Amino acid sequence: MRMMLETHLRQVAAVLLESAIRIAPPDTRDWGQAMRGELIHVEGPWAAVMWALGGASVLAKRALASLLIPGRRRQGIPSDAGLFAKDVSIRKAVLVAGAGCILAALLFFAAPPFRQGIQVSLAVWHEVFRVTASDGQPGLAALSTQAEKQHDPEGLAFAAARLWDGRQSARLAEEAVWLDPTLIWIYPVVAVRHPDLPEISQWAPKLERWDPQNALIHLIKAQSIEIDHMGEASKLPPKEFRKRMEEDPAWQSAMAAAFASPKFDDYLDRLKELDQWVVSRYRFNDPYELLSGEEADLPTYAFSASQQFAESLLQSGQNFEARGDRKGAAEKYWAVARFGLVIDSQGHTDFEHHMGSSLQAGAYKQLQALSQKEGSPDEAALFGYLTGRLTPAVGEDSRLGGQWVFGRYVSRRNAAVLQISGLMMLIFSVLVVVAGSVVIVGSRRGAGLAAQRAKPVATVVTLAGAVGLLLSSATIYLTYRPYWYIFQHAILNGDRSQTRDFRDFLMATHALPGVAPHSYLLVNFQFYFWAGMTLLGVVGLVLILLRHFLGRARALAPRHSPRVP
Amino acid sequence: MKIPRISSETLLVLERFVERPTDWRYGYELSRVTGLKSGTLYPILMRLEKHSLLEARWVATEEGVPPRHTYRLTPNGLELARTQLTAARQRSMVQQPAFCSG
Repeated sequence: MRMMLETHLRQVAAVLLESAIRIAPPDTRDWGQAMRGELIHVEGPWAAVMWALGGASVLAKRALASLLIPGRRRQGIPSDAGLFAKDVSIRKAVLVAGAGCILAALLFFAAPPFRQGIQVSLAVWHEVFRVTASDGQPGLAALSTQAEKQHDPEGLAFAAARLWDGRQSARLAEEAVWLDPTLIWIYPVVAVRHPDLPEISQWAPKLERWDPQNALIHLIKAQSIEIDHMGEASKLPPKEFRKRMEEDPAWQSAMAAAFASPKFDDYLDRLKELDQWVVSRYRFNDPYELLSGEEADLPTYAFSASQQFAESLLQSGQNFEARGDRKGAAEKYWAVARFGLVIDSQGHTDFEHHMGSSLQAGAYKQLQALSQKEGSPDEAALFGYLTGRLTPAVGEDSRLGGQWVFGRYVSRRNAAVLQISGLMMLIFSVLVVVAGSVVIVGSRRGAGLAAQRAKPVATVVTLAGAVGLLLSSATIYLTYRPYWYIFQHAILNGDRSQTRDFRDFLMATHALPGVAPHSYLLVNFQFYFWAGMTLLGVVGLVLILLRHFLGRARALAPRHSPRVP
Repeated sequence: MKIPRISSETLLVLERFVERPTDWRYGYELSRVTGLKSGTLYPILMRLEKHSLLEARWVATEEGVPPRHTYRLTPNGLELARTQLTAARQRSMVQQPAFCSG
């Protein structure tokens, strides 16, 4: 068994060396044969393998050098000073290749997708190392300061629509409207994002005068009234609080006005135009600020209030029906259906369409039942069809949910690739700088023995770092490029059809790879296990190299005083 | 004369050749006496041979066994090796503190 192992190892060594001889340049093949000739005399099978490995590495380096420097074989005998130096041409070729990789990596900086990709890839580390506070918006704060100095109403409105600080947002919105009264639409945008602002009660009458037919204004007013009652909400059970709200004449009036409104405008079109203008003027390209908070633009509270009011209307219609007043009942049902249609047809976001469809479906269901009672089967069939069309099928929800989960998985995976590439790029940059410095120091005249000994390893490390830098840069560029185009289409052309994927991606970049967003819960154990194993491997390799070179340095130390015969 | 910079590994190989200047030496034998691995030793031999400081020849051994390459310094190589080893020894003595010399 032991003999077999020894034979196999020697065969492996021979095959390795013979393969290297095949790829070696013609002028070094003799040397390959020389190493091959010695192989049989090397004592011990493992020593034979190591011998073959050493020989093969020499031949491979020569093959690489002949590829990189085609005229290398024709060069003359170097000067006396270079006579005993290590293989200078190979080292030069390695350094030239490394410099080429670094240059190519630097060229990526000329591409806007790459620059933005780096910014996004390093966002999570800003939070981890507390470079920026997790609740800070430094870019937007700077923009608002600049806009205030320049008395720029558009810049102020842009910042007001996005700042997380409600009071600051309200202040900027009021300043923007004071400078340019046509920007009054920024009030509802801010009110939707910060529904508890006390300024809303002052804005509501102005907005009602300015855009009286917009349902959103009345919904904001109703929300403001509801927030005034929030003190009671904590003392009352939810049902009781809901009943109390329904009995409030001001809330009733606001909701009735909303349901009677012929239009619904969330002002997202105006916000898109404002975005285009401000982005080009201030060169503000922070995707987190421009897109990640977009979903919050939805008047989410409007859904519950509308549902509540719609249910009261439908209940009222049923009461009319019970009393035999079918006309009165139909009017109530139609009020709900009409409002749902307005929201569905004029809304911009998925949430708004969903809200409109849901209200319509509930109303058509009642109208279907009413038509059947009235003996109008055609009308009943039509309402039944509309109810079915507007109510998502049982399987549809899970199918769409499945697509969404898959889309989110892809976004998270891409975000992890981008984050890791960004980190690797930083590590390789440091490696190139450190190893490159060692090469420069080792190349200087009068360099210390340690620097000279470290030079070959540093040269290889520089090349490896440069290749890593290039690969990680290319990965960042290729991974982020599609998202950059989505961003450009969204901001410059107003095409927001794919921004949900981008938002998912941006959200994922706020968490460390494999860690649940906004928590320290590790959800991807496998990733961290293999990352840890790889890291241990790299550390082990570095230790082996250090031991090898330091050991060799110690072994060679007494040889500076050789005996001369 | 300006003394060229020589790697310590090259000095080590030269030292072994200078010990028995007329003998032909095998690569594996040199590797054992110098402690250098094949990946370090052969580039040194290749450079020395390229600059005509080393001569090499093939030696046939027994049947079925590949021939072996053997090496020894040329007269030029021997002269240069001696110069370099002397210079290296002088450098070493200058660097060594006096109380460590014995």
